[in-house]
Amino acid sequence: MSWRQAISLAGKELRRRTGRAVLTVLAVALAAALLTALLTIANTAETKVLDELAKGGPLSGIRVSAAKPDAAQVGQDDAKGGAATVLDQAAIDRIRSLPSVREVVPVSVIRSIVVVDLARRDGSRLASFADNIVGVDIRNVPNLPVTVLAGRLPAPGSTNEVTVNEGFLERLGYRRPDAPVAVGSTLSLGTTQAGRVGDRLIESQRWIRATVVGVVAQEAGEGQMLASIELTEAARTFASQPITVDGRAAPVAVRLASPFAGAFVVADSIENVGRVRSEISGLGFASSAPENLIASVERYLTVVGIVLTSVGLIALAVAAIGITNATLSAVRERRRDIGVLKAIGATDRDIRRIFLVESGSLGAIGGLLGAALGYAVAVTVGTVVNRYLVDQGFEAVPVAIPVTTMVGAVVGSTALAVIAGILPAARASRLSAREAMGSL
Amino acid sequence: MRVVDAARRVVVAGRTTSLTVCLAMVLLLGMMAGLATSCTPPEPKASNAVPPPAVAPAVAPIVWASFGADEGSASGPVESFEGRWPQRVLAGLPVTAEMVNLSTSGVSIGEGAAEQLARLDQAGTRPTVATVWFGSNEPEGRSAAFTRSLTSLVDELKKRGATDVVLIGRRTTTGRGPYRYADEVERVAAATGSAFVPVDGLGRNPGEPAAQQAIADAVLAKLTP
Repeated sequence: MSWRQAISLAGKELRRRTGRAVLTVLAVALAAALLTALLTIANTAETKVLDELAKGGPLSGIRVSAAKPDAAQVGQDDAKGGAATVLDQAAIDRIRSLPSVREVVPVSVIRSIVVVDLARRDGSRLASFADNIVGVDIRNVPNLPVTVLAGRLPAPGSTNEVTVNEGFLERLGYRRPDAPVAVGSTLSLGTTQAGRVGDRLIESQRWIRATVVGVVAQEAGEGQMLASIELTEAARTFASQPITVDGRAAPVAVRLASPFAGAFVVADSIENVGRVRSEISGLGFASSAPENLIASVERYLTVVGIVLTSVGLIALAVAAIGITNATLSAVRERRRDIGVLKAIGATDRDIRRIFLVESGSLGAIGGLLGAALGYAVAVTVGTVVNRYLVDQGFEAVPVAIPVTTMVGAVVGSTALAVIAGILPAARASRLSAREAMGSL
Repeated sequence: MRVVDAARRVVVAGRTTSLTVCLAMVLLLGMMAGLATSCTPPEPKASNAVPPPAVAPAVAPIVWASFGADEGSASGPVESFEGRWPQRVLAGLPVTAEMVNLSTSGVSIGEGAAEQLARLDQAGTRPTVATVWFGSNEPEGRSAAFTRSLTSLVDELKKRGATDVVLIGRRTTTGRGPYRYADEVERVAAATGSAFVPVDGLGRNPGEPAAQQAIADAVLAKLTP
């Protein structure tokens, strides 16, 4: 008997005893759905939690600042820097050459006077204010803790586009859901070149205009605006030139003497973050990274994942017992059929194959339905959670299709059902034709 | 095949409602999945995708150098810049425009012109347009020297690439003191081919938003033909 013939025969038998087949499939489907839904929700939650901790950047990200390390804080997640120091291209290259460093993204910061053309939420005008513009190579944003909330990122190399963050919106009385309001508005950004020569304070200002092209959550540097590094470098070049009057030059502030305000370093794995931070401290720069927090959270999430998987597996095991029970009943009820098959030449192997195909089919159909149902449940739960998050002003969490989990649920259900069918199939195959017919 | 044929004869009954029930169950699950998917909020339009690189503007951007004394001063409290006439003018220029404000409070043209030119050179800025507004700190009886200094400044600005130079003058006195040499400013403008912007009739408080806007409008009209 071929596999095709066995499948055909098993299908006919399942259709003959519909009620039992449907109930068995339902049990498997519910178990597979539970497993799929739990794992999907757990994976989505893990992704969201870790993304929140990494602020949208890589988990193995390290912030380096143009400051000396404070010996008392080295190794702490939120270590603060000590005295200001110079972080130049040579230092960036030294950090880049460290083992286990995958990427180094320099961050430039410039203090700027900001004039906003967008009215506040209550219609009044906002007085000009000073804040930092954070400049990065926009092409490197995928390596940075930057998440676009509305609009888009500035074009790489653009000197007239910026994004703003939630703090900026709050100045104007807006909240995160209002972010699209800011997109398209313009800012005037002034950089001051100042110096005191004798008792005279001399100032020049360079002003540009920039269009707000997006709203971001950014942790790449301290500042409410994110722009291309070309924009901040042009402003920094202007501001860092010493004011000279009658041949006497005013000193330049240390913060302007450092070409970069900081850098974002990506280690090749979360396990190597501590080592890389230690080596960066050895080079004379302060660093911070949520490595300890991420490691703790990952441990907790792993435990939660194991518990949820166990719950789903228990349900599947119960369903498998149901399959065994149903198949054993089928064997008892079909002794005459088995006898006829054996009498006309069916081998033990043919009988075993028919019953294994039958139980495997129940598992496969149940697994397929369960995977679809589980995903639907996860999406429904995600919808409810997202409504709550959006109401609270947070970003919605998209529930990704858990391909691996769904395939695993189908394959696992089928395999479990086949295993559950082994005992009844073996029992059926051991029946002799006479013994089977004798039960008539 | 004999086995199968025999089995087919054995399996005869019971294929009536089973298929319908299975189909109904699959349909129900499919509907649930579809309903849940349709309830999912739409994906946010915001994206971390890196846009294509910026392209250089077809027309060279305006680089505006502002020279002068108190009226356009680049210093002061941070919160005071919103509403000043230089910011209003900049807001009226194309978004690619850049302004370098070198104006210094308390200086006369004799004290400020050379120093501001030196700072312009130091910044490496090549202006395409320039505005000049001195007159509030000028000593009395020095009209000839004022005229010479202003003419020289305009010449230097043109040498540095400024194709449009706008000279601003004001005759109205304020509580602080007299504005001087507006007539000389007008004459220098005529002699050097520069534009002249008289800002008179602004009342006693030119710092008011309406007055600053009037100054900005008058200057902008000369900078953007």
